[in-house]
Amino acid sequence: MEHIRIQNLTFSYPQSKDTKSLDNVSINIDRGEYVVLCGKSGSGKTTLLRHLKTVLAPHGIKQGYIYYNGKPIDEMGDEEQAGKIGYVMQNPDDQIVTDKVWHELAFGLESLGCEQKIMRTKVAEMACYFGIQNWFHSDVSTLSGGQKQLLNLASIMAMQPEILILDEPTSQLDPIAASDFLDTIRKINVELGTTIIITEHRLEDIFPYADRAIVMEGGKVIADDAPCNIPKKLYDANNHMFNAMPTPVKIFYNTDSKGETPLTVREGRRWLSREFETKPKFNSIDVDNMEDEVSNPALLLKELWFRYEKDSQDILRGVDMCVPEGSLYAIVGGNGTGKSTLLKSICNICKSYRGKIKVFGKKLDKYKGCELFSNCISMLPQDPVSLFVKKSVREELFEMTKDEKRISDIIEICQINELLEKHPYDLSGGEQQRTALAKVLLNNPRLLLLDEPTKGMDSFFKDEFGGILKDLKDRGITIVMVSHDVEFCAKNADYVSMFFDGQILTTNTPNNFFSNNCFYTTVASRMSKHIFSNAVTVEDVVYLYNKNKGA
Amino acid sequence: MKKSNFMILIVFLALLPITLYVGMHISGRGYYITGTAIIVELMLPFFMRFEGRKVEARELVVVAVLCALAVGGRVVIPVPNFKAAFAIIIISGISFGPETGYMVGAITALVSNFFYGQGPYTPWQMMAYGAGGMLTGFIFLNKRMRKESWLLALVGFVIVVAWIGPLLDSSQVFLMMPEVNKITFAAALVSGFPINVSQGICTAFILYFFGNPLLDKLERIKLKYGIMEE
Amino acid sequence: MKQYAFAGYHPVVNLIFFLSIFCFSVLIQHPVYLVANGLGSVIYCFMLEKKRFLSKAIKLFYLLLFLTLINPLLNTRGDSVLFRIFGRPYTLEALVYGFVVGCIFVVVLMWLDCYNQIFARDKFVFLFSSFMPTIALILSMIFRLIPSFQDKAGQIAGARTAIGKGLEASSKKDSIKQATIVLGALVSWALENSVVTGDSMKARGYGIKKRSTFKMYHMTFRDWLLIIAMCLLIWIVTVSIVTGNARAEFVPKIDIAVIDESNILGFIAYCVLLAIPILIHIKEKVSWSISEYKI
Repeated sequence: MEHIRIQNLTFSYPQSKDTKSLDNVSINIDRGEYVVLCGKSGSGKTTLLRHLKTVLAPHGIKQGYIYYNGKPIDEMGDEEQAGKIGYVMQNPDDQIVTDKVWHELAFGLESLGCEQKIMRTKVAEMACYFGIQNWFHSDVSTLSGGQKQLLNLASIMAMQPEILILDEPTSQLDPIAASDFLDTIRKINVELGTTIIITEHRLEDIFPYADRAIVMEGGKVIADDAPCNIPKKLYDANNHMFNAMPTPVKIFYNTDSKGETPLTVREGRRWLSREFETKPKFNSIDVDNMEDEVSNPALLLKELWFRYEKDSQDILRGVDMCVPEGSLYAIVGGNGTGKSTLLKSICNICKSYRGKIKVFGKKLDKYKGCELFSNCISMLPQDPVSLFVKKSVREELFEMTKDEKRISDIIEICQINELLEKHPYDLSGGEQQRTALAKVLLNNPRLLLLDEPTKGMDSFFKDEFGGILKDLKDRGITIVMVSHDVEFCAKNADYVSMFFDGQILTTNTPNNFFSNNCFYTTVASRMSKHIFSNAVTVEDVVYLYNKNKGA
Repeated sequence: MKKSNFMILIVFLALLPITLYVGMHISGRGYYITGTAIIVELMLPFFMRFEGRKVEARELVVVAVLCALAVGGRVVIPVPNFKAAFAIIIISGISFGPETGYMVGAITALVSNFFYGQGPYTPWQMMAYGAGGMLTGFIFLNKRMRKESWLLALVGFVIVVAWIGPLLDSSQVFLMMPEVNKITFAAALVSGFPINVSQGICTAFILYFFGNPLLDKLERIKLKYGIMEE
Repeated sequence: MKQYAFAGYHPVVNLIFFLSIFCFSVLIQHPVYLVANGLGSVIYCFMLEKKRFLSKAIKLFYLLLFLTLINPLLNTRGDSVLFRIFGRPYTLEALVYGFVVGCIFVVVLMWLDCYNQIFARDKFVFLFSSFMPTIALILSMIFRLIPSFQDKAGQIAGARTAIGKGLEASSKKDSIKQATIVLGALVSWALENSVVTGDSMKARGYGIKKRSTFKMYHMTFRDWLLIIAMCLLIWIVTVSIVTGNARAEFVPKIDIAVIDESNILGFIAYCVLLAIPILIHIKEKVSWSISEYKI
């Protein structure tokens, strides 16, 4: 049965009347369907979703109709609308209203004036279903990002919505929390029959399980089909949304294969096994090995120890690290293992109590005053917004230097020409990241530290960002990056280190590093391991495939 | 008549006179209690008006954010005795009008005492801070005056030194001194003066350098989301 | 936070106890009553915070000394002049009165300390929520925001340090300037994000109906029992105050009501009232150790 019907919806914002944010969109969504909505940032996904929740609908010029259960959505009562349509937003922190977990769970029910007894049962039910009972009495501020987002979901589910709308719910979460969250969504869909409409960058985890995928571009729906049929359409149309598809799909089409599209690693492995029933001739690619001795390291850490307070646990437990000059050095590892702390101690924000740090051959404490940060080290924080203090991007840049020539150079590198007059908070996530990077680069660093730079980025911007990093490297800047994003590291880094339990365990070139790992590795590696020994990116696998097939 | 207005009438016509009457007839140190009770009763109408009208979600959030900034602001500035709370309360009064100014001030006082310990002085502080926010709200009803940084700083200084400070000092008389008379009042005011002046200077400093950018930020939010437009 | 026995009771019970104790502490100047009150507050305060008690007590002792000595300077009434200072009489009555007022003040501070231990902010918000739900909601929101602002302030300061604009600048003026920039950035961040919070409230139906409140605390039988007992005690003590049985005047002449068989009931009731949290505390300790012993 039809749950939501969008008919010829066209919408434009008052400040930009000429560009249509939504252009003649027509979609039908059935009851209990799991629909994933994808598209570049700025393609109108969020605008569309917000129209489905009338209280959040943006102001502007709207044409067309939206029906909910066959009735126009505007005619729904406030109460019905609040209860029946659940809406989860991107940022886990800002959606939480109250200070206690139990209070947050009850918030929606309180708003609807729910009776005490009923409310207690419903809250208890939700706490059990989502496994919240152990932190039911906790302060919200003690929760992790994943727990916060789960709490947001639970507090909406407590109102028993028929339809759940999620706008990039996992973009701020680490990969493990993100896939847990998406599993929960799937569970809700399967066990409760709730209709799900979700936008998501992380298509890898979600594409195989969705009933339908809708691709948007420039406010238009360009594809609307079952997930297994979508990639072909995009590939044939040579659409760049294809790059956001799951890795097995990309490998499959880039090798010009025919047949059923593999969506998961399992299907990908089967497909490769069928393709190479005998052992292939070329089963590895030539890669550089790690040099044992680095003559002139940009950064050298020896036996570094750190803890926040005298009696607290050690966060860094003897870190040894050596970063060759002019390289992109990535540090990967789980959440909360102290990766960010490591960067902070390199900047001397966290002062280590044992061990030594040498930056360009000079000991850290030999740098006096601001010397360390002028023409030497700069760090891009995890949340780029932390750097914004002014009213426009231009003023932000002029806060760093008065030298207009330098500023225009940096604007060029970071591609922020069109953003100069905008307020930093009006930018999209990717634009904010570029602006923050520009600000950091105006310090003229020789050693650039990046803390989780790809968080919340879509695949296009990741590619673009990778390009910017490469450009910087060519200009002789050494980059140290901390990241969860193994795919990005495999593609862009020169060296990858595994950080665990306050130490750096192994360091190697990406191909060697990821091909030695079985679990903590890229999708391409997991998919091709049984055939190719050291292919870790899509390009690697495609290259070896074609080489063997003689193409 | 609306329920909240009715309650306000009750406070003024019944509760206050009764408290005063009873207060005059109890022996010993009854004025401790009478004084505090009157302060609480004087605050009730403001709170009830706020409760009584329908508060938009965004307005509620903005008030909460301003209060939290006023309370949490002090951790940001690592200079001892450099408090941003008064400046933020004053700015709230200017930007959002007397009523919101009052609420931000009063709630800030209440909340900050959850961190530094509640006491009988809590209602007095709520009253003083709230009235401070309200007063600046009235003074700056004229929007052109807001542009002048020196005027912001001056008003901030005067409000702290001549209004909030003395009010808090006189609460000391009621709560601590063995007797309420001219001498004890004078003693309390004189002993509090230097601290008030230093607080006033600090508030004036923040308002001078930082008042207008802060007002701009609030204006931007108001404009962007159309909140609190009368 | 540690769980204290008396804190396990319903917030209304705690509130009635502390309000009545504060009022009585202030109103009753009678030395015998005052001694009982002092004992009660000291014992309970010691039970709640054993470690910090001593340092606190020393501070309060100095305060008491100060208030005692200062009173005769401000208040010259009294018949027995001890000596003259600045040409004004320094009287014994005023000194004694100063001591009594000082004691009252110290006792109130002791009870306040206990109050701050027992009456956590949840309970406060709970009490508010029943008659001022919007204010209660604001309080709850503020308690949620403060820790996140503190975190964010740290992040902003750290981010600025890492581009060479740290708070540890060369001069004090510079460091204040940098600090205000951090504060400004924090204000922007907080305000911009507040809009999302507002949306999230609206999405969950805020403002479409009169709100109900999820009640975390429930009255149980023992709560009712204690409330009835306390009301009875409060009534007896109030009667004893109104009838002048707890009267005490110090200036200009020391005049204290005598406690005898006819009015001892009021005093006993006062003692029992003061002992309530102490007895509850001991009872719980004992029953725990018994059950541990059985195991």
